[in-house]
Amino acid sequence: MADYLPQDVLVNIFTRLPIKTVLQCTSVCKLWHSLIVNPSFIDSHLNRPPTQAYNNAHHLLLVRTCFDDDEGRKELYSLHCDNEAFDEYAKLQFPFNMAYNRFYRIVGSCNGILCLTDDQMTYVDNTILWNPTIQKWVRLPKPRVTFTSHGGFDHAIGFGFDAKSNDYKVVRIVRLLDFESEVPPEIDLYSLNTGAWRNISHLGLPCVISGRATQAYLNGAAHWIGADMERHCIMFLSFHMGDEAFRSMSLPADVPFLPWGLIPAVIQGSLSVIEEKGFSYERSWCIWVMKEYGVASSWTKLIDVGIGEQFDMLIGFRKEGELLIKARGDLISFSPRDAQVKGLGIRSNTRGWYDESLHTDAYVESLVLLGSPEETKEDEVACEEEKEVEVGCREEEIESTEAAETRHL
Amino acid sequence: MASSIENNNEKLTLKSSDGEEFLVEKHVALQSTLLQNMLDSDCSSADVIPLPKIDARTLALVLGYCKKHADASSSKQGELNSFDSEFLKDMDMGALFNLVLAANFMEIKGLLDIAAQKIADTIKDKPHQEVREIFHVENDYTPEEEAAVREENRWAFEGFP
Repeated sequence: MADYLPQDVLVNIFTRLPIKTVLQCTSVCKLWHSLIVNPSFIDSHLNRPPTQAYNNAHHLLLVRTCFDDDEGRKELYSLHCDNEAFDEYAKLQFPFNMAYNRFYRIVGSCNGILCLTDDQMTYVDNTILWNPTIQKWVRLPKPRVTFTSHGGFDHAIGFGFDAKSNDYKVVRIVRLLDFESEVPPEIDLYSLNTGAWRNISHLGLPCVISGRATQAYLNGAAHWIGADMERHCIMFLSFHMGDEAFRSMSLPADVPFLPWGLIPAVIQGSLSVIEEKGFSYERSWCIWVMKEYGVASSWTKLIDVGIGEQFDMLIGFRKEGELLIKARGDLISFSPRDAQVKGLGIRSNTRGWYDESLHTDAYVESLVLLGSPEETKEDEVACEEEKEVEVGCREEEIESTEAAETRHL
Repeated sequence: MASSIENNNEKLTLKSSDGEEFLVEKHVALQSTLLQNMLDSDCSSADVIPLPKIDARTLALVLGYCKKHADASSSKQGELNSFDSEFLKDMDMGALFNLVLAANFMEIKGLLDIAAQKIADTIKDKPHQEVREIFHVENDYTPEEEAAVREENRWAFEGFP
Protein backbone atom coordinates (compact mmCIF):
# COMPACT_ATOMS: atom_id res chain seq x y z
CA MET A 1 0.00 0.00 0.00
CA ALA A 2 1.35 3.37 -0.93
CA ASP A 3 1.78 5.49 2.14
CA TYR A 4 3.85 8.12 0.44
CA LEU A 5 3.15 10.27 -2.55
CA PRO A 6 5.89 12.45 -4.01
CA GLN A 7 5.39 16.19 -3.58
CA ASP A 8 4.68 16.81 -7.26
CA VAL A 9 1.84 14.28 -7.15
CA LEU A 10 0.44 15.85 -3.96
CA VAL A 11 0.56 19.28 -5.60
CA ASN A 12 -1.11 17.83 -8.70
CA ILE A 13 -3.98 16.59 -6.50
CA PHE A 14 -4.25 19.84 -4.47
CA THR A 15 -4.49 21.84 -7.70
CA ARG A 16 -7.74 20.05 -8.47
CA LEU A 17 -9.39 20.82 -5.14
CA PRO A 18 -11.84 23.60 -4.34
CA ILE A 19 -10.33 26.43 -2.32
CA LYS A 20 -12.09 25.49 0.90
CA THR A 21 -10.71 21.93 0.79
CA VAL A 22 -7.23 23.22 -0.04
CA LEU A 23 -7.32 25.38 3.09
CA GLN A 24 -8.54 22.45 5.19
CA CYS A 25 -5.59 20.44 3.88
CA THR A 26 -3.18 22.90 5.51
CA SER A 27 -4.09 21.32 8.84
CA VAL A 28 -3.23 17.76 7.76
CA CYS A 29 0.52 18.08 8.42
CA LYS A 30 3.38 20.58 8.21
CA LEU A 31 4.54 19.41 4.77
CA TRP A 32 1.09 19.90 3.28
CA HIS A 33 0.87 23.35 4.85
CA SER A 34 4.17 24.41 3.34
CA LEU A 35 3.25 23.03 -0.09
CA ILE A 36 -0.05 24.95 -0.10
CA VAL A 37 1.13 28.36 1.14
CA ASN A 38 3.95 28.29 -1.43
CA PRO A 39 3.42 31.08 -4.01
CA SER A 40 4.19 28.69 -6.86
CA PHE A 41 1.31 26.44 -5.74
CA ILE A 42 -1.01 29.45 -5.46
CA ASP A 43 -0.05 30.23 -9.07
CA SER A 44 -0.64 26.69 -10.34
CA HIS A 45 -3.99 26.55 -8.57
CA LEU A 46 -5.02 29.82 -10.19
CA ASN A 47 -3.77 28.84 -13.64
CA ARG A 48 -4.88 25.23 -13.67
CA PRO A 49 -6.33 24.05 -16.96
CA PRO A 50 -10.10 24.42 -17.02
CA THR A 51 -10.48 20.65 -17.20
CA GLN A 52 -8.94 20.42 -13.73
CA ALA A 53 -11.14 23.04 -12.19
CA TYR A 54 -13.78 21.61 -9.91
CA ASN A 55 -16.15 24.30 -11.16
CA ASN A 56 -15.10 24.11 -14.78
CA ALA A 57 -18.72 24.45 -15.82
CA HIS A 58 -18.98 27.92 -14.33
CA HIS A 59 -17.78 31.26 -15.41
CA LEU A 60 -18.22 33.39 -12.33
CA LEU A 61 -19.55 36.91 -12.17
CA LEU A 62 -19.17 39.10 -9.13
CA VAL A 63 -22.19 41.24 -8.24
CA ARG A 64 -22.17 44.05 -5.69
CA THR A 65 -25.38 45.63 -4.46
CA CYS A 66 -26.10 48.13 -1.70
CA PHE A 67 -29.08 48.37 0.58
CA ASP A 68 -30.24 49.73 3.92
CA ASP A 69 -31.62 47.67 6.74
CA ASP A 70 -32.22 48.22 10.46
CA GLU A 71 -28.50 48.06 11.16
CA GLY A 72 -27.72 50.66 8.55
CA ARG A 73 -26.06 50.68 5.19
CA LYS A 74 -24.79 47.43 3.73
CA GLU A 75 -22.69 46.35 0.79
CA LEU A 76 -23.48 42.87 -0.43
CA TYR A 77 -21.09 40.90 -2.60
CA SER A 78 -22.01 37.62 -4.25
CA LEU A 79 -20.76 35.32 -6.99
CA HIS A 80 -23.05 34.05 -9.70
CA CYS A 81 -22.63 31.40 -12.36
CA ASP A 82 -22.80 32.85 -15.83
CA ASN A 83 -25.45 30.33 -16.82
CA GLU A 84 -29.03 30.51 -18.00
CA ALA A 85 -30.45 30.83 -14.47
CA PHE A 86 -27.65 33.13 -13.21
CA ASP A 87 -27.44 30.83 -10.16
CA GLU A 88 -25.93 32.21 -7.00
CA TYR A 89 -22.63 30.41 -6.46
CA ALA A 90 -21.58 32.00 -3.17
CA LYS A 91 -22.31 34.90 -0.86
CA LEU A 92 -19.15 36.75 0.08
CA GLN A 93 -18.67 38.13 3.56
CA PHE A 94 -17.94 41.86 3.55
CA PRO A 95 -15.53 42.37 6.44
CA PHE A 96 -15.05 46.13 6.34
CA ASN A 97 -16.72 49.02 8.06
CA MET A 98 -18.96 50.99 5.75
CA ALA A 99 -17.21 53.28 3.36
CA TYR A 100 -17.09 56.94 4.32
CA ASN A 101 -18.46 57.76 0.87
CA ARG A 102 -21.62 55.62 1.06
CA PHE A 103 -20.00 52.66 -0.70
CA TYR A 104 -16.62 51.61 -2.01
CA ARG A 105 -15.63 52.19 -5.59
CA ILE A 106 -14.46 48.90 -7.12
CA VAL A 107 -11.37 49.89 -9.08
CA GLY A 108 -10.96 46.48 -10.62
CA SER A 109 -10.62 42.78 -10.13
CA CYS A 110 -7.68 40.59 -11.06
CA ASN A 111 -6.88 36.96 -10.15
CA GLY A 112 -9.53 36.92 -7.44
CA ILE A 113 -8.40 40.18 -5.82
CA LEU A 114 -10.70 43.17 -5.71
CA CYS A 115 -9.24 46.64 -5.37
CA LEU A 116 -11.64 48.81 -3.35
CA THR A 117 -11.17 52.48 -2.71
CA ASP A 118 -13.20 55.01 -0.75
CA ASP A 119 -13.18 57.99 -3.11
CA GLN A 120 -16.68 58.40 -4.55
CA MET A 121 -17.21 62.00 -3.45
CA THR A 122 -14.39 62.92 -1.16
CA TYR A 123 -10.97 61.35 -1.32
CA VAL A 124 -10.53 59.19 1.77
CA ASP A 125 -7.07 57.60 1.77
CA ASN A 126 -8.41 54.11 2.12
CA THR A 127 -7.58 51.59 -0.57
CA ILE A 128 -7.84 47.87 0.04
CA LEU A 129 -6.80 44.74 -1.85
CA TRP A 130 -9.30 42.09 -0.88
CA ASN A 131 -9.59 38.41 -1.68
CA PRO A 132 -13.20 37.76 -0.64
CA THR A 133 -13.01 34.02 -1.37
CA ILE A 134 -10.40 33.34 1.29
CA GLN A 135 -11.32 36.37 3.41
CA LYS A 136 -7.89 37.99 3.40
CA TRP A 137 -7.03 41.57 2.67
CA VAL A 138 -4.29 44.16 2.71
CA ARG A 139 -4.90 47.83 3.39
CA LEU A 140 -2.56 50.09 1.46
CA PRO A 141 -0.40 52.50 3.45
CA LYS A 142 -1.18 56.21 3.34
CA PRO A 143 -0.22 57.66 -0.02
CA ARG A 144 2.39 60.37 -0.49
CA VAL A 145 0.04 62.95 -1.97
CA THR A 146 -2.87 63.90 0.26
CA PHE A 147 -5.13 66.87 0.76
CA THR A 148 -2.97 68.00 3.69
CA SER A 149 0.30 67.68 1.81
CA HIS A 150 -0.71 69.07 -1.58
CA GLY A 151 -4.18 70.63 -1.36
CA GLY A 152 -7.10 69.84 -3.64
CA PHE A 153 -6.66 67.13 -6.22
CA ASP A 154 -8.31 64.67 -8.54
CA HIS A 155 -7.01 61.12 -8.73
CA ALA A 156 -7.35 58.05 -10.89
CA ILE A 157 -6.38 54.57 -9.75
CA GLY A 158 -5.32 51.49 -11.66
CA PHE A 159 -4.91 47.98 -10.32
CA GLY A 160 -3.36 44.91 -11.85
CA PHE A 161 -0.90 42.05 -11.85
CA ASP A 162 2.74 42.10 -12.81
CA ALA A 163 3.43 38.56 -14.03
CA LYS A 164 7.17 39.24 -14.36
CA SER A 165 7.71 39.73 -10.65
CA ASN A 166 4.53 37.97 -9.49
CA ASP A 167 3.36 41.17 -7.84
CA TYR A 168 0.08 43.06 -7.54
CA LYS A 169 0.36 46.79 -8.11
CA VAL A 170 -1.77 49.89 -7.68
CA VAL A 171 -0.94 53.01 -9.65
CA ARG A 172 -2.31 56.36 -8.50
CA ILE A 173 -2.30 59.39 -10.76
CA VAL A 174 -2.97 62.67 -8.99
CA ARG A 175 -3.81 65.91 -10.74
CA LEU A 176 -3.31 68.86 -8.43
CA LEU A 177 -6.00 71.50 -8.67
CA ASP A 178 -4.67 74.43 -6.66
CA PHE A 179 -2.67 75.91 -9.48
CA GLU A 180 -3.54 78.44 -12.10
CA SER A 181 -2.04 76.39 -14.87
CA GLU A 182 -1.80 72.62 -15.29
CA VAL A 183 1.14 71.15 -13.34
CA PRO A 184 2.65 67.72 -14.09
CA PRO A 185 0.76 64.88 -12.40
CA GLU A 186 2.00 63.28 -9.21
CA ILE A 187 2.19 59.52 -9.82
CA ASP A 188 2.86 56.78 -7.28
CA LEU A 189 3.02 53.02 -7.55
CA TYR A 190 2.19 50.60 -4.75
CA SER A 191 3.64 47.09 -4.85
CA LEU A 192 2.13 44.32 -2.74
CA ASN A 193 5.52 42.57 -2.53
CA THR A 194 7.24 45.59 -1.00
CA GLY A 195 4.14 46.83 0.82
CA ALA A 196 5.02 50.44 -0.03
CA TRP A 197 4.31 53.29 -2.41
CA ARG A 198 7.05 54.60 -4.70
CA ASN A 199 7.08 57.95 -6.49
CA ILE A 200 7.13 57.45 -10.27
CA SER A 201 6.11 60.99 -11.26
CA HIS A 202 9.19 61.22 -13.50
CA LEU A 203 7.41 58.97 -16.01
CA GLY A 204 4.95 61.72 -16.84
CA LEU A 205 1.73 61.16 -18.76
CA PRO A 206 1.13 61.46 -22.51
CA CYS A 207 -2.37 62.83 -21.85
CA VAL A 208 -4.76 63.71 -19.05
CA ILE A 209 -7.35 61.46 -17.48
CA SER A 210 -10.34 62.38 -15.40
CA GLY A 211 -10.62 61.86 -11.67
CA ARG A 212 -11.83 58.36 -10.69
CA ALA A 213 -11.59 57.31 -14.34
CA THR A 214 -12.98 53.82 -14.95
CA GLN A 215 -10.29 51.27 -15.69
CA ALA A 216 -10.37 48.29 -18.01
CA TYR A 217 -7.77 45.70 -17.08
CA LEU A 218 -6.26 43.46 -19.75
CA ASN A 219 -2.90 41.93 -20.64
CA GLY A 220 -1.21 43.13 -17.45
CA ALA A 221 -2.20 46.74 -18.00
CA ALA A 222 -4.80 49.16 -16.65
CA HIS A 223 -6.50 51.17 -19.41
CA TRP A 224 -8.37 54.45 -19.12
CA ILE A 225 -9.80 56.92 -21.58
CA GLY A 226 -7.37 59.81 -21.83
CA ALA A 227 -7.45 63.10 -23.67
CA ASP A 228 -4.94 65.45 -25.21
CA MET A 229 -6.76 68.73 -24.75
CA GLU A 230 -4.39 70.78 -26.90
CA ARG A 231 -4.51 68.45 -29.88
CA HIS A 232 -8.17 67.84 -29.22
CA CYS A 233 -7.93 64.08 -29.43
CA ILE A 234 -8.81 61.14 -27.20
CA MET A 235 -6.99 57.88 -26.76
CA PHE A 236 -6.54 54.87 -24.53
CA LEU A 237 -3.98 55.54 -21.83
CA SER A 238 -2.49 52.37 -20.37
CA PHE A 239 -0.18 51.59 -17.49
CA HIS A 240 1.73 48.35 -17.87
CA MET A 241 2.33 46.74 -14.49
CA GLY A 242 5.34 44.67 -15.63
CA ASP A 243 7.59 47.27 -17.20
CA GLU A 244 5.98 50.14 -15.28
CA ALA A 245 5.37 52.29 -18.32
CA PHE A 246 2.54 54.44 -19.62
CA ARG A 247 1.54 54.05 -23.25
CA SER A 248 -1.23 55.37 -25.41
CA MET A 249 -3.33 53.66 -28.08
CA SER A 250 -5.68 55.00 -30.70
CA LEU A 251 -9.42 54.79 -30.26
CA PRO A 252 -11.68 53.97 -33.22
CA ALA A 253 -11.50 56.83 -35.71
CA ASP A 254 -15.29 57.26 -35.66
CA VAL A 255 -15.50 57.93 -31.94
CA PRO A 256 -16.17 61.61 -31.28
CA PHE A 257 -14.14 63.81 -28.95
CA LEU A 258 -16.11 63.03 -25.81
CA PRO A 259 -13.34 62.38 -23.33
CA TRP A 260 -15.51 61.61 -20.34
CA GLY A 261 -18.51 60.11 -22.11
CA LEU A 262 -16.80 56.90 -23.16
CA ILE A 263 -16.51 53.79 -21.02
CA PRO A 264 -13.54 51.44 -21.38
CA ALA A 265 -14.28 47.73 -20.96
CA VAL A 266 -13.04 44.24 -21.67
CA ILE A 267 -15.46 42.23 -23.75
CA GLN A 268 -14.78 38.58 -24.54
CA GLY A 269 -11.09 39.08 -23.90
CA SER A 270 -10.70 42.19 -26.04
CA LEU A 271 -10.17 45.80 -25.12
CA SER A 272 -13.38 47.67 -25.88
CA VAL A 273 -14.97 51.05 -25.64
CA ILE A 274 -18.63 51.89 -25.18
CA GLU A 275 -20.02 55.07 -26.60
CA GLU A 276 -23.44 56.24 -25.52
CA LYS A 277 -25.17 58.15 -28.28
CA GLY A 278 -28.31 60.17 -28.59
CA PHE A 279 -30.97 61.20 -26.10
CA SER A 280 -34.29 59.92 -24.92
CA TYR A 281 -35.89 57.45 -27.38
CA GLU A 282 -32.94 57.78 -29.69
CA ARG A 283 -30.40 56.54 -27.14
CA SER A 284 -28.10 53.77 -28.20
CA TRP A 285 -24.88 52.09 -27.16
CA CYS A 286 -22.21 51.62 -29.70
CA ILE A 287 -19.63 49.04 -28.66
CA TRP A 288 -16.22 48.90 -30.31
CA VAL A 289 -13.80 46.01 -29.86
CA MET A 290 -10.06 46.01 -30.54
CA LYS A 291 -9.78 42.55 -32.09
CA GLU A 292 -5.99 42.52 -31.98
CA TYR A 293 -4.55 44.13 -28.87
CA GLY A 294 -2.57 47.26 -29.64
CA VAL A 295 -3.46 47.26 -33.34
CA ALA A 296 -5.51 50.38 -34.10
CA SER A 297 -6.65 49.05 -37.49
CA SER A 298 -8.36 46.13 -35.74
CA TRP A 299 -11.04 48.31 -34.09
CA THR A 300 -14.36 46.76 -35.07
CA LYS A 301 -17.86 47.88 -34.27
CA LEU A 302 -19.39 44.98 -32.34
CA ILE A 303 -22.91 46.28 -31.95
CA ASP A 304 -24.91 49.43 -32.11
CA VAL A 305 -27.96 48.77 -30.04
CA GLY A 306 -30.91 51.05 -29.47
CA ILE A 307 -31.76 51.25 -25.78
CA GLY A 308 -34.32 54.01 -25.64
CA GLU A 309 -35.12 55.20 -22.15
CA GLN A 310 -35.56 51.83 -20.51
CA PHE A 311 -31.92 51.11 -19.61
CA ASP A 312 -29.78 53.23 -17.32
CA MET A 313 -26.29 51.88 -17.48
CA LEU A 314 -24.28 49.13 -19.11
CA ILE A 315 -22.38 47.44 -16.30
CA GLY A 316 -21.15 44.09 -17.54
CA PHE A 317 -20.84 41.43 -20.18
CA ARG A 318 -21.70 37.75 -20.20
CA LYS A 319 -19.80 35.01 -21.94
CA GLU A 320 -22.56 34.38 -24.49
CA GLY A 321 -22.57 38.02 -25.51
CA GLU A 322 -25.49 39.29 -23.43
CA LEU A 323 -25.14 42.66 -21.77
CA LEU A 324 -25.67 43.20 -18.06
CA ILE A 325 -27.66 46.35 -17.60
CA LYS A 326 -28.97 48.37 -14.72
CA ALA A 327 -32.56 49.39 -15.28
CA ARG A 328 -34.04 51.36 -12.37
CA GLY A 329 -32.04 49.38 -9.79
CA ASP A 330 -32.72 45.97 -11.30
CA LEU A 331 -29.99 43.92 -12.89
CA ILE A 332 -31.15 42.65 -16.23
CA SER A 333 -29.61 40.59 -18.96
CA PHE A 334 -30.11 41.83 -22.50
CA SER A 335 -29.34 39.87 -25.62
CA PRO A 336 -28.45 42.19 -28.51
CA ARG A 337 -29.07 39.37 -31.00
CA ASP A 338 -32.80 39.06 -30.39
CA ALA A 339 -33.44 42.02 -28.05
CA GLN A 340 -34.52 39.58 -25.31
CA VAL A 341 -34.66 41.18 -21.85
CA LYS A 342 -34.41 39.00 -18.77
CA GLY A 343 -34.58 40.05 -15.12
CA LEU A 344 -31.97 38.36 -12.93
CA GLY A 345 -33.74 38.86 -9.62
CA ILE A 346 -31.07 41.21 -8.30
CA ARG A 347 -31.86 44.70 -7.06
CA SER A 348 -29.79 47.48 -5.63
CA ASN A 349 -30.66 50.66 -3.86
CA THR A 350 -31.31 53.42 -6.37
CA ARG A 351 -31.76 56.26 -3.93
CA GLY A 352 -29.54 59.26 -4.65
CA TRP A 353 -25.89 58.40 -4.63
CA TYR A 354 -26.55 54.67 -4.37
CA ASP A 355 -27.71 54.75 -7.92
CA GLU A 356 -24.29 53.70 -9.15
CA SER A 357 -23.66 51.05 -6.51
CA LEU A 358 -24.67 48.08 -8.67
CA HIS A 359 -21.49 46.56 -10.03
CA THR A 360 -20.62 43.40 -11.96
CA ASP A 361 -17.33 41.98 -13.10
CA ALA A 362 -15.88 38.68 -14.24
CA TYR A 363 -14.33 36.86 -11.30
CA VAL A 364 -12.04 33.91 -10.62
CA GLU A 365 -11.55 32.33 -7.21
CA SER A 366 -7.97 32.27 -6.03
CA LEU A 367 -5.65 31.76 -3.06
CA VAL A 368 -3.76 35.01 -3.69
CA LEU A 369 -3.09 36.90 -0.40
CA LEU A 370 -3.16 33.59 1.50
CA GLY A 371 -0.09 34.66 3.46
CA SER A 372 -1.65 37.95 4.54
CA PRO A 373 -2.29 38.19 8.22
CA GLU A 374 -5.50 40.20 8.24
CA GLU A 375 -8.63 38.15 8.27
CA THR A 376 -10.60 39.20 11.29
CA LYS A 377 -13.61 41.35 10.77
CA GLU A 378 -12.66 44.96 10.71
CA ASP A 379 -14.76 45.92 13.69
CA GLU A 380 -13.08 43.22 15.77
CA VAL A 381 -9.68 44.72 15.16
CA ALA A 382 -8.52 46.62 18.18
CA CYS A 383 -8.91 50.25 17.42
CA GLU A 384 -8.39 51.90 20.77
CA GLU A 385 -5.82 54.02 19.07
CA GLU A 386 -7.75 56.63 17.18
CA LYS A 387 -6.45 56.75 13.68
CA GLU A 388 -6.58 59.97 11.81
CA VAL A 389 -7.96 59.49 8.37
CA GLU A 390 -7.39 62.24 6.01
CA VAL A 391 -10.07 63.26 3.63
CA GLY A 392 -8.95 64.82 0.41
CA CYS A 393 -11.58 66.76 -1.40
CA ARG A 394 -12.24 68.08 -4.85
CA GLU A 395 -12.21 71.80 -4.76
CA GLU A 396 -15.68 72.22 -6.18
CA GLU A 397 -17.08 69.82 -3.63
CA ILE A 398 -15.78 71.57 -0.59
CA GLU A 399 -18.86 73.71 -0.36
CA SER A 400 -21.26 70.92 -1.09
CA THR A 401 -20.02 68.53 1.51
CA GLU A 402 -19.54 68.85 5.20
CA ALA A 403 -16.81 66.28 5.12
CA ALA A 404 -13.95 68.43 4.00
CA GLU A 405 -12.12 68.20 7.27
CA THR A 406 -10.30 65.46 9.01
CA ARG A 407 -12.53 62.85 10.57
CA HIS A 408 -11.99 60.14 13.12
CA LEU A 409 -12.68 56.49 12.53
CA MET B 1 20.03 6.78 -36.28
CA ALA B 2 19.59 3.07 -36.76
CA SER B 3 16.78 2.34 -34.44
CA SER B 4 15.52 -0.96 -33.18
CA ILE B 5 11.94 0.27 -33.39
CA GLU B 6 11.31 0.22 -37.10
CA ASN B 7 9.03 -2.74 -36.99
CA ASN B 8 5.57 -1.73 -35.86
CA ASN B 9 4.76 -5.16 -34.55
CA GLU B 10 7.74 -5.09 -32.30
CA LYS B 11 7.17 -5.94 -28.69
CA LEU B 12 9.03 -5.22 -25.54
CA THR B 13 9.12 -6.81 -22.14
CA LEU B 14 8.41 -4.96 -18.91
CA LYS B 15 9.18 -6.49 -15.56
CA SER B 16 7.22 -5.55 -12.43
CA SER B 17 8.70 -5.09 -8.95
CA ASP B 18 7.45 -8.55 -7.98
CA GLY B 19 9.15 -10.19 -10.96
CA GLU B 20 6.29 -10.67 -13.37
CA GLU B 21 7.06 -10.04 -17.04
CA PHE B 22 4.65 -8.35 -19.45
CA LEU B 23 5.04 -8.53 -23.21
CA VAL B 24 3.81 -5.21 -24.61
CA GLU B 25 3.36 -3.98 -28.14
CA LYS B 26 5.55 -1.03 -28.87
CA HIS B 27 2.75 1.36 -29.80
CA VAL B 28 1.08 0.62 -26.47
CA ALA B 29 4.29 1.26 -24.55
CA LEU B 30 4.66 4.62 -26.31
CA GLN B 31 1.76 5.97 -24.22
CA SER B 32 4.43 6.28 -21.53
CA THR B 33 6.85 9.16 -22.04
CA LEU B 34 9.39 7.34 -19.87
CA LEU B 35 9.35 4.27 -22.15
CA GLN B 36 9.28 6.44 -25.24
CA ASN B 37 12.46 8.22 -24.11
CA MET B 38 14.11 4.90 -23.34
CA LEU B 39 13.25 3.53 -26.78
CA ASP B 40 14.39 6.74 -28.46
CA SER B 41 17.76 6.48 -26.81
CA ASP B 42 20.00 3.47 -26.78
CA CYS B 43 17.75 1.06 -24.98
CA SER B 44 17.13 -2.02 -27.06
CA SER B 45 13.65 -3.43 -27.11
CA ALA B 46 15.19 -6.85 -26.83
CA ASP B 47 16.09 -6.06 -23.26
CA VAL B 48 13.74 -6.58 -20.38
CA ILE B 49 12.85 -3.19 -18.89
CA PRO B 50 12.58 -3.42 -15.12
CA LEU B 51 10.02 -1.21 -13.37
CA PRO B 52 11.12 -1.68 -9.77
CA LYS B 53 8.47 0.64 -8.29
CA ILE B 54 5.41 -0.93 -9.87
CA ASP B 55 3.84 -4.21 -8.82
CA ALA B 56 2.26 -6.67 -11.24
CA ARG B 57 -1.33 -5.81 -10.32
CA THR B 58 -0.77 -2.12 -10.92
CA LEU B 59 1.25 -2.67 -14.07
CA ALA B 60 -1.53 -4.83 -15.54
CA LEU B 61 -3.97 -1.96 -14.92
CA VAL B 62 -1.60 0.61 -16.39
CA LEU B 63 -1.04 -1.47 -19.53
CA GLY B 64 -4.79 -2.01 -19.88
CA TYR B 65 -5.23 1.77 -19.89
CA CYS B 66 -2.38 2.27 -22.37
CA LYS B 67 -3.69 -0.41 -24.73
CA LYS B 68 -7.17 1.12 -24.82
CA HIS B 69 -5.77 4.59 -25.51
CA ALA B 70 -3.22 3.41 -28.06
CA ASP B 71 -5.76 1.39 -30.03
CA ALA B 72 -8.60 3.91 -30.02
CA SER B 73 -8.75 6.22 -32.98
CA SER B 74 -8.93 9.90 -32.25
CA SER B 75 -12.54 10.00 -33.41
CA LYS B 76 -13.63 7.94 -30.46
CA GLN B 77 -13.01 10.49 -27.70
CA GLY B 78 -16.43 9.87 -26.19
CA GLU B 79 -15.75 6.17 -25.93
CA LEU B 80 -12.39 6.87 -24.28
CA ASN B 81 -14.00 9.22 -21.77
CA SER B 82 -16.48 6.57 -20.68
CA PHE B 83 -13.67 4.00 -20.56
CA ASP B 84 -11.71 6.37 -18.29
CA SER B 85 -14.55 6.87 -15.85
CA GLU B 86 -15.33 3.13 -15.75
CA PHE B 87 -11.65 2.35 -15.36
CA LEU B 88 -11.33 3.96 -11.93
CA LYS B 89 -14.82 3.20 -10.69
CA ASP B 90 -14.96 1.20 -7.47
CA MET B 91 -11.17 1.17 -7.23
CA ASP B 92 -9.98 1.16 -3.62
CA MET B 93 -7.71 3.97 -2.43
CA GLY B 94 -4.67 1.69 -2.16
CA ALA B 95 -4.95 0.64 -5.79
CA LEU B 96 -5.61 4.22 -6.83
CA PHE B 97 -2.50 5.48 -5.03
CA ASN B 98 -0.39 2.76 -6.67
CA LEU B 99 -1.85 3.75 -10.02
CA VAL B 100 -1.11 7.47 -9.57
CA LEU B 101 2.46 6.62 -8.53
CA ALA B 102 2.91 4.38 -11.57
CA ALA B 103 1.43 7.00 -13.92
CA ASN B 104 3.72 9.62 -12.42
CA PHE B 105 6.81 7.38 -12.69
CA MET B 106 6.05 6.18 -16.22
CA GLU B 107 4.91 9.67 -17.27
CA ILE B 108 1.51 8.74 -18.63
CA LYS B 109 -0.17 12.13 -18.50
CA GLY B 110 -3.74 11.07 -19.24
CA LEU B 111 -3.70 8.40 -16.57
CA LEU B 112 -2.03 10.72 -14.06
CA ASP B 113 -4.77 13.28 -14.73
CA ILE B 114 -7.70 10.95 -14.18
CA ALA B 115 -6.15 9.25 -11.14
CA ALA B 116 -5.22 12.56 -9.46
CA GLN B 117 -8.70 13.91 -10.24
CA LYS B 118 -10.30 10.80 -8.74
CA ILE B 119 -8.27 11.22 -5.54
CA ALA B 120 -9.15 14.93 -5.40
CA ASP B 121 -12.85 14.13 -5.84
CA THR B 122 -12.65 11.55 -3.07
CA ILE B 123 -11.16 13.86 -0.44
CA LYS B 124 -13.15 16.94 -1.48
CA ASP B 125 -15.76 16.75 1.27
CA LYS B 126 -13.84 14.80 3.87
CA PRO B 127 -12.69 16.26 7.20
CA HIS B 128 -8.91 16.54 7.46
CA GLN B 129 -8.69 13.75 10.07
CA GLU B 130 -10.12 11.37 7.49
CA VAL B 131 -7.82 12.78 4.80
CA ARG B 132 -4.85 11.94 7.05
CA GLU B 133 -6.04 8.32 7.26
CA ILE B 134 -6.56 8.06 3.50
CA PHE B 135 -3.07 9.37 2.78
CA HIS B 136 -1.44 7.58 5.74
CA VAL B 137 -0.06 10.92 6.86
CA GLU B 138 1.11 11.34 10.41
CA ASN B 139 -0.06 14.51 12.14
CA ASP B 140 3.16 16.29 13.13
CA TYR B 141 1.40 19.32 14.64
CA THR B 142 1.08 19.84 18.36
CA PRO B 143 -2.56 20.52 19.31
CA GLU B 144 -1.65 24.21 19.76
CA GLU B 145 0.00 24.40 16.33
CA GLU B 146 -2.93 22.69 14.68
CA ALA B 147 -5.35 25.10 16.32
CA ALA B 148 -3.23 28.02 15.11
CA VAL B 149 -3.20 26.70 11.54
CA ARG B 150 -6.97 26.30 11.61
CA GLU B 151 -7.28 29.81 12.99
CA GLU B 152 -5.38 31.16 9.94
CA ASN B 153 -8.36 30.21 7.78
CA ARG B 154 -11.10 29.78 10.33
CA TRP B 155 -13.95 30.06 7.82
CA ALA B 156 -12.76 27.01 5.87
CA PHE B 157 -13.20 24.80 8.93
CA GLU B 158 -16.69 25.89 9.83
CA GLY B 159 -18.92 22.85 10.13
CA PHE B 160 -15.95 20.54 10.70
CA PRO B 161 -15.02 19.07 14.09
